[in-house]
Amino acid sequence: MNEDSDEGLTPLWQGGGRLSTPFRTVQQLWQERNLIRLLVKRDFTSRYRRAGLGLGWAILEPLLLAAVYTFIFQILVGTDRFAYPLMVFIGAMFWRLFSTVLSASSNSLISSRNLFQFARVPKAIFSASSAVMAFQMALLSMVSIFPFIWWYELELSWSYLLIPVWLAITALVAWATGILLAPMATRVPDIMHAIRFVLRIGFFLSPVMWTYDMFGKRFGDGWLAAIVQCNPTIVPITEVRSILLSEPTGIPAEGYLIFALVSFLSVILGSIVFESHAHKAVVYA
Amino acid sequence: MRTALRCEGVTLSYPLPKRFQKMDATSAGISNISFELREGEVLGIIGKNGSGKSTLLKLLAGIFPPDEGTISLRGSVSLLAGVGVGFNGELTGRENCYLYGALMGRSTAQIDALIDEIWAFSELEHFFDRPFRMFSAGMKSRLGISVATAFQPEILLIDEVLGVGDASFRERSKKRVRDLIDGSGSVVIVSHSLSLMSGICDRIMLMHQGECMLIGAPEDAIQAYSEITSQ
Repeated sequence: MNEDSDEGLTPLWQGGGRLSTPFRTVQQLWQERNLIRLLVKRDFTSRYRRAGLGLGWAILEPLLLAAVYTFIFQILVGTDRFAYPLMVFIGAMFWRLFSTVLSASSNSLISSRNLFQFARVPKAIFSASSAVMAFQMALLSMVSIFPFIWWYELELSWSYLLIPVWLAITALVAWATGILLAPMATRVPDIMHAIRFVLRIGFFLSPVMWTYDMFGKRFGDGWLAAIVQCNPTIVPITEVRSILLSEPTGIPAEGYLIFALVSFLSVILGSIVFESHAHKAVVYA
Repeated sequence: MRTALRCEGVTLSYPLPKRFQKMDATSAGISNISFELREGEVLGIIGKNGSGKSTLLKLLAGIFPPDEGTISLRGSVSLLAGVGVGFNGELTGRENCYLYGALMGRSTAQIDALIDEIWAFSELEHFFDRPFRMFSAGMKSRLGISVATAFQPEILLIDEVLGVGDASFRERSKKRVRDLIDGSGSVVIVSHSLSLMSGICDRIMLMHQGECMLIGAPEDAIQAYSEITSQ
C-alpha cells in the first residue's frame, strides 16, 4: 500500500458539537427538501390514489368529527356558547394535527424502517415528511371554516393569516416531541403504547370539546391552570378561536410564557436527543 | 490501485434477549472485521445465515454506526438490499425510481436523464407505469437492479439479488456490474449462489459467527465454506 492511496477516503461517522445540533438538523432538512417533497407526495399518492373521494376525505373527516363531537357535548352538558360547532371544529382539527404528527414522528424510525435500511439519509426526514403532510392536510381542511364564517356572519380580517402560523407551530411542537421519543421507541415498545394512551386522554384534556373560558370559569388561574397550560395545544387552539371570533383569548401572560418555554424546550431537546441517538436506535428497529 | 473502502476493526453487537445473556451465548452481529476494497474490485461475502453478512453491508452503507472501529470510503455508496426494499407498493415503477434516486442523493434532473435507460434495461415495458404492488417478484428485483446500477455509484453493495430474473436478465445484470467496475466502481456482493460468486468475484470473504474467517481467492473461500457447512 502506498501512502497516497488513502487520499479522498472519508470516514463515515464524524462527530459534531452537541450544541449546534438543532441548527444542523434544520440545515439537513433544508438540504433534503426535495426528498421530503417526494416522501410527502408518496404518502399522499399511496393514501388517496385509489380513494374515489380522493383528497375530499381530508376535508370531510374533520367536519364529520366536529359534527359528532358537537352532538355529544350538547347531550352531555349543553352549551349556549356562540358558534360552538365552529369552536369544536377548530379544536378537532388542531388536535388531529397534533396527535397525527406526534404519533407519526415518534413511530417514524419503526415505520420507515424499510426505507433507511438501504439509504444513507438523515433520519429526521421521515418524521419531517409526515409532519409536513399532516400540516398540508390541516391547511386544506381549513377551507371548511368559510361556510361557518358565512353562517355566523363573522368578519374576515388580516389576522386570519395567523391561522396557518398557529397550525405550523402546533405541527412543529408535536414533531419535536415525537422525535424526542422516537429513538427510545425502537428499543422500548411500551413507549408507543404509552403515547397512544396519552393521546387518548389528551383528547379530553385539550380544548377540543371545551373552550378556555369554560375552563377558566371553573378553575380560575391557580396552580391547576399552570399545570394545564403545559399542554401545548391550548394556546394555538384558543388563539385561533379568538382570531375567528375577534375576541380576546383570556389566557394570562404566564400561560403564554409556559407555552413558549414548553415549545422551545421540546424543539431543542427533541433535535439533540434524536441526532445523538437515532442512528444507533435504527439497529433495533 | 487506490483504496475505495477501508474497514478497520468494525464491531457491532445486537442486543441479546435477557434470558440468553446468562448463557454466555455469542451475540449476533459482527466483531472485529477489517479489510480493504480496491477500486475496480469485486468482493464477495459468503457465510451461513446469520453470520453477519447483511449487517456488514448495512454498516458499509452507513445506515448505522458500528460500536467500534472505523469505515472510510471514497465517493457514493448504493446498497441493493433485497427484493422490493425501498419501493412503495402504491407508486408506479417510474415514481419509485424517482423516490429511490432521491434517497440515493440524486436530483430530479439527474433522474430525468436516466429514466429512459432504466426503463429500457428493466424490460418492464408498460408495467413501468403501473403500481409496484402489481409486479411479480422477478419484475420487482429487475426494477431494483436497474435503478441501483443506473446511478453508477463508486461503491455498489448487493445483497442477494443478483441471481434473479430469467437467464437473459441474469446475464445482462452481470454484464452491467462488470461495466460498473470498468468505470472504476467497486462492488461488494453477498450471495448464497456459489457458482455466481466464483464467476464474478475477484476475492471472497468467508464470514462465520460474525467474524471474518478468511479473505482470499474465490476457490479457497468456497473450499473453506464447504468444510464449515459439512461439519
